[in-house]
Amino acid sequence: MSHEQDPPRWGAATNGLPESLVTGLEEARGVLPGADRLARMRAGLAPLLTVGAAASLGAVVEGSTAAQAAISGSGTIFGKTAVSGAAGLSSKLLVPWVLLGGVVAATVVGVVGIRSAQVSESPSASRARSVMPSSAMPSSVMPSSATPSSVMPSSATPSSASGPELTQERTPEVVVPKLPPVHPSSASAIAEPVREAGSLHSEARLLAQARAQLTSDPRATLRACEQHQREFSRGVLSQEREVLAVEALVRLGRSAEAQARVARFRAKFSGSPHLPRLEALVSTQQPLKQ
Amino acid sequence: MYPGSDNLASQAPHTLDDAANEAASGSCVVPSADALTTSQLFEEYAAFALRALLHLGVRDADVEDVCQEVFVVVHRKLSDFEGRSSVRTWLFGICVRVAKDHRQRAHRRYEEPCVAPPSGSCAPTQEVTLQRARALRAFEQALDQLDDAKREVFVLFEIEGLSMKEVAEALDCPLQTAYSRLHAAREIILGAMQRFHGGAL
Repeated sequence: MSHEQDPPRWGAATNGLPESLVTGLEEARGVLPGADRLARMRAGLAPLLTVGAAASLGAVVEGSTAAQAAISGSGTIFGKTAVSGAAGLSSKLLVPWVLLGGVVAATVVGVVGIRSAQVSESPSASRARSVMPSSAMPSSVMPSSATPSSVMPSSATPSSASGPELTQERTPEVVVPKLPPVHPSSASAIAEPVREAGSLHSEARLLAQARAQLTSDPRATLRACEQHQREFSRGVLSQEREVLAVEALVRLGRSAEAQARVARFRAKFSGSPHLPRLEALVSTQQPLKQ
Repeated sequence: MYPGSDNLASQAPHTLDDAANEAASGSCVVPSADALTTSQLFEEYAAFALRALLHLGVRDADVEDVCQEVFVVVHRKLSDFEGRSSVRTWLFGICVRVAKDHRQRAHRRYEEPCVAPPSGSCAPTQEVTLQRARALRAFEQALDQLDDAKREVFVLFEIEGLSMKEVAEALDCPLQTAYSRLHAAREIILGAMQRFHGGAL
């Protein structure tokens, strides 16, 4: 990538750079978003990232309602963007923007719903799935456990499930007939999202196996973690994988590696709820023997 | 590719790029840029675009939104992409313009530029980590001292690893201009970090 006339890039080998500058640069180069961030963006961009744009029409109509909810209610960042973005663009671009914002907000709302309450499958969950095409669901958003009923109104009974600000903007006549099937197997199966939807199960299965071996064979756990990292480099469960890998390393007495891994984890997922546990794991210098 | 970043960084975005480069040089027949989809580009570059946006001065709280804007633009303009530059260069050019646009809007919205955001709930226990975090913050503050033009060159060259030729293409400026901006930016950054060093020790 470099050109022969280019000056060498700054780094540890550069003469006369303060150490803090070298460190700052290294850290800056290491700033990369976690899988959760990417998944949120992927979800927000779902209509653009899939081929079957028509399939997302139902989501779009429903989504703009959810966007309204997000803006008037919780005021999420994404909702805000839908407004500011729409305001700042020419009328030609207005429609796609509002639509995009709607879907983003809808997904965020979905994510919030899932994160706040992991409840088992319910009628509203299958509603949510039918409202949003599977592509709109990032792999992080476990569709099977989604219960966004508080914000996503059921189109069958809009008034019962939703607040006044939701019903106001609704166009149920449009929504109902255009809903894609709950299980969009017939809908010319957009290959990518379908694979992604399944990949969460594969991820979970792999990590469950890895965890099962933690006490008996931490090396096998570590290998499984590596496999997970290879196969699901942007997986939803990458934080969980890291926790498992650190546990395995600690059990194997490879505390330096464990600490390095925790340091990377900290840099990447600074607010993670796993962090205290990880730090506790590496702060005990004694290798955990079973 | 870079220290401190794990699997994401190891997947350097070159595969699509190479195809486009070859297309640009006309050395052989490769799938045209039309064959690229927004989805592919997102998977290849989203992480890097987001990092670039952060260093171009987009606040952390806004960066996901702005990054999505970038890919909306990518999606809209993909069919116009002529393969004269590499995809990566093209995409970073979009990042630069969207970030600039956002900063101008943010400026109007917030009136005053936001000071460095709180460093999150991270409670570093190891001194090394703390030092590195401090160095990063000081470096980001040094970046803030650059004007847009210098900052863009510096970020694309030093952090994103573009060649100066690519930087000039992405910013649509003459190569010599890019060189002189890099030179000026380096002096400012160096000065700022030397002051930080002096103060820290």
